[in-house]
Amino acid sequence: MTVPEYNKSVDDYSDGLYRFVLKNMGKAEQAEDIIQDTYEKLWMRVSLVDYRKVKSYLFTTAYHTMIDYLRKEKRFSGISDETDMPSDQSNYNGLKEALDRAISRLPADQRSVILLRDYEGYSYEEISEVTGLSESQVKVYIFRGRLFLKKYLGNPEKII
Amino acid sequence: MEINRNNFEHYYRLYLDGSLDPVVTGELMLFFSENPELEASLDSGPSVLTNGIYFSKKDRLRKSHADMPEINEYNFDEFCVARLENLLSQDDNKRLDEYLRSNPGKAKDAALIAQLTLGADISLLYKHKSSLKKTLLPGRRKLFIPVIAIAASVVFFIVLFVSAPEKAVITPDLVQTSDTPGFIEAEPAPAPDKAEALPEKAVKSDISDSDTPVLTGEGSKAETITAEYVPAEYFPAPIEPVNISRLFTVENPNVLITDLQNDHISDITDGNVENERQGILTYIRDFDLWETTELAVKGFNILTESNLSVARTPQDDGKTRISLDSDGKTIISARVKGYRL
Repeated sequence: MTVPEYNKSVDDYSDGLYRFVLKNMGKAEQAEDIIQDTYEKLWMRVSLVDYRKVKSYLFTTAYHTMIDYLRKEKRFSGISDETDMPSDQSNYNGLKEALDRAISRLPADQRSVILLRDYEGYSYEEISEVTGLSESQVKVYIFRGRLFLKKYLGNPEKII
Repeated sequence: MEINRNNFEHYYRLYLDGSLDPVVTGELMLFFSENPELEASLDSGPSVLTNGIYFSKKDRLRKSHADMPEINEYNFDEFCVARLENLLSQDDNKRLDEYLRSNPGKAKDAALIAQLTLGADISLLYKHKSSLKKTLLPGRRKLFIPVIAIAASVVFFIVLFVSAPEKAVITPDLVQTSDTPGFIEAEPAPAPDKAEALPEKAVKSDISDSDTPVLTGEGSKAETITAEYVPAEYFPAPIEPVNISRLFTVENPNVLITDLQNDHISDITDGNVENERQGILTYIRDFDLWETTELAVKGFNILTESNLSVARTPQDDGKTRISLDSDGKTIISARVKGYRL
């Protein structure tokens, strides 16, 4: 990959990568750090990465960097992956808000694969490459994630 | 090729040789399980592949389309998610539609699941793209830096060498008397007070014609000239260092538009000066200054992500206008005459 191609990858993919990481992490500063780390890693291997595969490389690197980060954070802060379900009184201003809140409650693995699927339109095979999960695992996580979202949102009547 | 009654022995021999593909080995096992009498007919008896052991109740496990699980309230959500993921067959899609028709109360749930895809928030943008961008490959950067540094130094020298304010005051300190033929021999300027009163950053508008002293000289080109800025190195020491701030002023970048007295350079380089000075100038003359300048500007652009360029344009009066442009806009320019640029 050439320097102009590297810089083009910044223009083309940093926004999508940022959204993916931000939705996973929830904090803008952490997301920015991970984007910075990811592109720094890409730059260190710029001569070895084929430009046609740079998007996959970026998402794979960001995903693993993020997982490492989350594991460390969990170890130090004792954050649990366990999710809480909303009370019956919860109401949302539209489906988007409801989904935003629901997605943050998903376990990290399920959240990542759903975000890759919905934000980037990746196939199961591509998600498998990015996350290192098998295709069947990816499919199972997506199913479980979507069913969780449905269950979390509960009664459609609650969405104003 | 499909394994059949006519070729199964060939495949079995390949298996015994250890050269049968694992996938085909599986097909061969399947063939033997469905045709145990053929396996028994092998010269060696039941093959080492299966050892004659089969699961004899496969029929119990086989299913037909009619055996497909019914859609019910327990698996309804899964069917809806499968539809969202485009994993349902045409038949299953029809079955789901039929279920929804017969259970209208589930329509809202189906509609909700159909909307469970997340849309990317395109207003979320990464704001620090510029900090991620790079200019040079990591390995090459080390090679470039010394080259760029040298080239930039040469350019800086060139700018100092060929550029001068159009009208500047020569203070008495700068005007030296010399016995060397060809040098301007001048009388001290009569009005140094005004020069001293000038601001540190002298700009063109600060200097009026009346401020300019007139020098007279003798030598090969000795004549009365209007004394424009004469670079300090044309004079023997002691000389006042060039005041860079006078050459580059923010207030008026055009201060560097100048008509360099190239005749004087000719005098100097034609051998009318002491050997040391002549040697230096001859050395400078042997450089391809223009090529070096272009290289330096390119290097500067790479390092600083600037968009500078240099240009030279012949003028009607025989002089050459050289300029340093940024995005097509001239920052510095100079008109030179008889100069090798």
